[in-house]
Amino acid sequence: MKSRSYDVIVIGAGPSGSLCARNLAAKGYQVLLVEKRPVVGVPVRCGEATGRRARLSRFMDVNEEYIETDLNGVILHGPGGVSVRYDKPDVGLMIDRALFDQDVARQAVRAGVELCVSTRVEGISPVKDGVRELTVIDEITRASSTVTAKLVVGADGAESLSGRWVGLKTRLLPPQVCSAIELRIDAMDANPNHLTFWQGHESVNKGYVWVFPKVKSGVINLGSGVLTPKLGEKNMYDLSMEYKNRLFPDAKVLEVHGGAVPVSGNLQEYVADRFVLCGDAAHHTNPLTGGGIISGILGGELASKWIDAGLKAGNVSKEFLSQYQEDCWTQFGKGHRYQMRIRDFVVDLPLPAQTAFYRIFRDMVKGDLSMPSKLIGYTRMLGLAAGNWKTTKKAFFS
Amino acid sequence: MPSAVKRPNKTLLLDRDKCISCAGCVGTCPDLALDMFGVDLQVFQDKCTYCTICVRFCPVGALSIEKSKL
Ligand SMILES: Cc1cc2nc3c(=O)[nH]c(=O)nc-3n(C[C@H](O)[C@H](O)[C@H](O)COP(=O)(O)OP(=O)(O)OC[C@H]3O[C@@H](n4cnc5c(N)ncnc54)[C@H](O)[C@@H]3O)c2cc1C
Ligand code: SF4
Ligand code: SF4
Repeated sequence: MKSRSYDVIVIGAGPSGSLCARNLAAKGYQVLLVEKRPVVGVPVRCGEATGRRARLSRFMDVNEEYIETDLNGVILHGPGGVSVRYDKPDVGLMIDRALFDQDVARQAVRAGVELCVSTRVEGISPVKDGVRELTVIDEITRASSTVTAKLVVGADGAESLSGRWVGLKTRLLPPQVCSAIELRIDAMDANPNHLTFWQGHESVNKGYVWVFPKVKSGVINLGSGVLTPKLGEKNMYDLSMEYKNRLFPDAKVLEVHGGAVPVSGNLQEYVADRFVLCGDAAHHTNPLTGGGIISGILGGELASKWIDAGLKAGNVSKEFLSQYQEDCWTQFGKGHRYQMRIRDFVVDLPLPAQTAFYRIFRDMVKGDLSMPSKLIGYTRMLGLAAGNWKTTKKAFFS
Repeated sequence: MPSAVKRPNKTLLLDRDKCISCAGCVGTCPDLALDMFGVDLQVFQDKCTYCTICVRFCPVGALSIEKSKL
């Protein structure tokens, strides 16, 4: 560390933290980005599927180096043998997360951010004399030091403890946290430009199994995630291996990764005096899909906007920063809550009704999601919802 | 006085051969009894209340709770 005091310290060089740091440095603030891993982005704990080029380019110049696959559709295998196939050019991208995270961190460094890797934050003090003091450990020498900031950003991912150090309730509360595993497999899928999913009572109900092909590298990400299982239920590694052995029996497993995916929807409260959380740490992750790359980036961007406004106004109190929370809520939090309700509705339906749900969905997609096919679909959905009123009430009206 | 609290005769066991250092369990523990150092998961037995949340969470089944043989 070049200095003992900064305007802003960002904890965690994932996409959310790096983007937030980059934006603040570009505005002229002195920013320190602290990352405990020796190499940014490694190991990759991600399925590596994300939104379209156009979506990503709202935040940065897209670099072809990390693009693995241009996705042209999605295949969803539901219960009762009902499969939904959606073909549409440019539905999203597969990326190399290590290269991607490194690219965003590089953007931050180019904007003037000081990046310290192999450096772990171990504690955050209460506000004193207009700053917070961070205890920082050099992971190589184990030396401990302190450094202060006018504002601290916790972008420390699903394993975040930073919010808890400042008294926020950010724990991953079961069952609203997904236990996830990912196998990198030396094989290519028959549908290399599609994301394939298995969901429902006959595969995995409170989550899904995925096959995501990385075409440029010629490998597959096969994984699974579920809302925290009960004691004694099958773990995600065993489930993923079952699918691997069935789908790609002869292929080699190159890597095994796992992790937690916060799927509770945005936290109730994730700002404090001179402190904000963003990305997975704030549970910005999409609670239906578990995708958190784009929403984490958006969270990081909104955080940088409100931090800039606060520092300019000389007010980075909890009260002022709660405007950031409200902004996130309107931009994606509300949408996430709605998707969470749909998720709860589908997983709570008994098998026959769940199969009917997938049939309706399949027919809408078959009709190219045109206005008439949607109208018919929504009417059938209403019938299904009415016929399963208890589940509907629990998911949408509680 | 925390030191006077009687600890249950239990141990949270970590199977290091199974653990893939995903750090997922860290954020689920209500008592900050877990933390990841590099690729080493540390279990602070003195903080653990044996609530089984991390055991349920672990995607590879590396955690279990055992009655200590005293
Ligand atoms: C198995 C799995 C599959 C997934 N698949 C997808 C997918 O296909 N698509 C998608 O969009 N999302 C996916 N996600 C979710 C996605 O990976 C996350 O939402 C995303 O990484 C969140 O970004 P972030 O910047 O908030 O946090 P992270 O990327 O987790 O970055 C946090 C950083 O903070 C660092 N850190 C933590 N604590 C400290 C500390 N004390 N001091 C210093 N540094 C610290 C960490 O080392 C890490 O680098 C998946 C997640 C998992 C577990
Ligand atoms: S059993 Fe409960 S208290 Fe103990 S480490 Fe696991 S989650 Fe924490
Ligand atoms: S959740 Fe399991 S595999 Fe992941 S770090 Fe904890 S013990 Fe290891």
